[in-house]
Amino acid sequence: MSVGATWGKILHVDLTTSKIWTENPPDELYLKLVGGRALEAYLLLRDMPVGADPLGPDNLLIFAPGVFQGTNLPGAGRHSVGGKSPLTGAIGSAEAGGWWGHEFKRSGWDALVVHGQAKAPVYLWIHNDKVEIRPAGHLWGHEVAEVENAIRDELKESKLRVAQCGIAGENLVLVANVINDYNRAAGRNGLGAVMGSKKLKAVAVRGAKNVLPTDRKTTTALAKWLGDNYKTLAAWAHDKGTPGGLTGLNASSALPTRNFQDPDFPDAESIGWETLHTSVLIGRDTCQACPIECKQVVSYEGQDYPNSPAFKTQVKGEVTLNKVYGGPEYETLGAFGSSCGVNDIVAVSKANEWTAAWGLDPISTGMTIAYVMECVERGLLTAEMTGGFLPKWGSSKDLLEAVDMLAHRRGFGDKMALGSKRLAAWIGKGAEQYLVEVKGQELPMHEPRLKAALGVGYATAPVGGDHMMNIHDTGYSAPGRGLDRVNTVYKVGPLPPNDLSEQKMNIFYHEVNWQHFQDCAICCMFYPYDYNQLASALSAMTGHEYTAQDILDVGERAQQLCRLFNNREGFTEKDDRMPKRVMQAFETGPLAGIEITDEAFHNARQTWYGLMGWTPEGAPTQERLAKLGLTELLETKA
Amino acid sequence: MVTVEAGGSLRTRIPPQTTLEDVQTVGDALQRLHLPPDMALIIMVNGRLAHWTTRLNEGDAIQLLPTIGGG
Repeated sequence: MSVGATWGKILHVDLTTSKIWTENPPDELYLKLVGGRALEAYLLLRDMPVGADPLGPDNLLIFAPGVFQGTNLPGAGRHSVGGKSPLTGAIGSAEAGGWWGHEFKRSGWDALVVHGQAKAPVYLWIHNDKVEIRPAGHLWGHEVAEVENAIRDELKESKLRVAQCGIAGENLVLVANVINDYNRAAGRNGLGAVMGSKKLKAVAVRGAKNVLPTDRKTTTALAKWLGDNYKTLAAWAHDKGTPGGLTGLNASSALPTRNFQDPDFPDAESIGWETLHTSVLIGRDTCQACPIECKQVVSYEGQDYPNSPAFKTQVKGEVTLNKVYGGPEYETLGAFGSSCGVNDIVAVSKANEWTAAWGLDPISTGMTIAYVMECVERGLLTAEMTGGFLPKWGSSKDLLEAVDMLAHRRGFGDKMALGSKRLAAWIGKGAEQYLVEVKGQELPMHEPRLKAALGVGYATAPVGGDHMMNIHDTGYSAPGRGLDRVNTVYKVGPLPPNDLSEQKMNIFYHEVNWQHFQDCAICCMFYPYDYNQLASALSAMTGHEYTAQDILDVGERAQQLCRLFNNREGFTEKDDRMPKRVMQAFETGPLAGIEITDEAFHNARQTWYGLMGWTPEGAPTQERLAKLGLTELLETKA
Repeated sequence: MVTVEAGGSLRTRIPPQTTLEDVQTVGDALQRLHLPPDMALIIMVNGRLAHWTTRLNEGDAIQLLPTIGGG
């Protein structure tokens, strides 16, 4: 094999026929796509029939690490999962942290492609070259930790890693995640339901093969640089992690509150870092080969916290928290907390625990419940329609009952399990005007009225509203790592966060390509690497030279392939839109009067289409595909 | 004279409050501080969203709030 840090082998498993086979892709595929999202989009374009039912046997479920996985590059403790999303009908592509991707790559495979549907529940056991389809009827219906522990016991292999669909995925909940390593999630696009539809309960992996970079000296030097600098350059993630910014966002009207309606959540302190770490937080957790330890771990047995002045709970004595499922991150605190008007760190943490234990997406689950709360308040949902369930803003018990109903599709939960957009269509009566989603995917916890290009990113992300394959404008409003990075290829100074100029859209173009690149080679986005550092890492891994521009081209290839897939599945530029609510100005607070006009949004979107080489209708052109070297790859048949 | 107030977790990285003389813009003021390079910042002046080139008047209060981009 002449591409270092890869095996030249993709594993295919058809659960309808139980056929297992190996594909040996050409070097060209690795060098141009690198792995992860670009590989997923390529395989979906090649192997999935046009218009396939996302929950039918023709959809693919793809587990794809990248070139970086299996090595000890800090930040590479991740993998990607892809398929056609049942939530949006567009491409689904999601990354998760943990150890599963590292272990899978070390089993000697570059990707796993699952075809077909099993008649009865099964799980896969991949132990180096040995691949088995095993019965999983005894695991079906059990919580995540029970399933992972049972598989370890059954296979007598304590060091294996498990990715699984959870109870929500079994129930075909459209906001179900694929969970790995007990509490990490390939989140957002409903891929847990794809896994459930295939009756694939889990994929257990154990690998003992060393993935070796071609040039270890360079990768070792980069790991040393990271070790020497992460306490400064990733201090925010190391010191507090994602919850650290919550109260600051609220002070600037940027903490989504009551379904993005309000410019202020008066009880933000009660779900912020200070309260978290003076109450239920018991420790921090991390991913493979990562010193940063950004993850939260919580526990609760009903105690009081006299040193936590803003701590509040409505569920004392009614719930406990299990540390095996980790703890709430910023997105979860926002989605179950401020978005639902809930100021209860215990209830929010419990809702978070259930999303891991049952395999739910916290953002879409929280935002669907917030939408239900608003529709109840507006009289659009009545007791007759919901079987008597009428959740209210701020009620911890209503929040927890809603999560339980949704995961198990019990009563009105059967409707909530479809996500807010389908729910709005069922309600009718103009209920869609209160939706906050793009392509059917609920918005995450970042405010476009503060970060305008992020709003364009919500509109144009191939998976629907997403904050990771996106930019955060506040990262370019003062000198720092964001501007230093982009200045490698595009010279620009600080710009206002609500700016949508051509300069801002150039930052957006390069930085979104960078984010997609990191989902192909696969590296954590919380790391302080720059373009040149990861270009040098990819060169050292593969033994082929990449420049900063070359790795941005990898990210663009991922986006071009995703766009080809989405357009093939019927999406057009009309689907690249922003929810009206987050374009309209607040009347009070720091962002009062700041709006995003239809014209400003349209111009920014068209500027980006132009930078991508797309037609005004958002279609990739043969000229750009040829320039990126994709033409021949796209002509290849399976 | 203008004041710069650090909010949230930024308070452990730069002084919670700083007083500065002879500054014309937000950028002038912030260049005198050692801003942490890893943090995305929300900049406000007198409680309203501002930016690097916002001109300052005597007595203005700059508020800096840290933010994050994921999670």
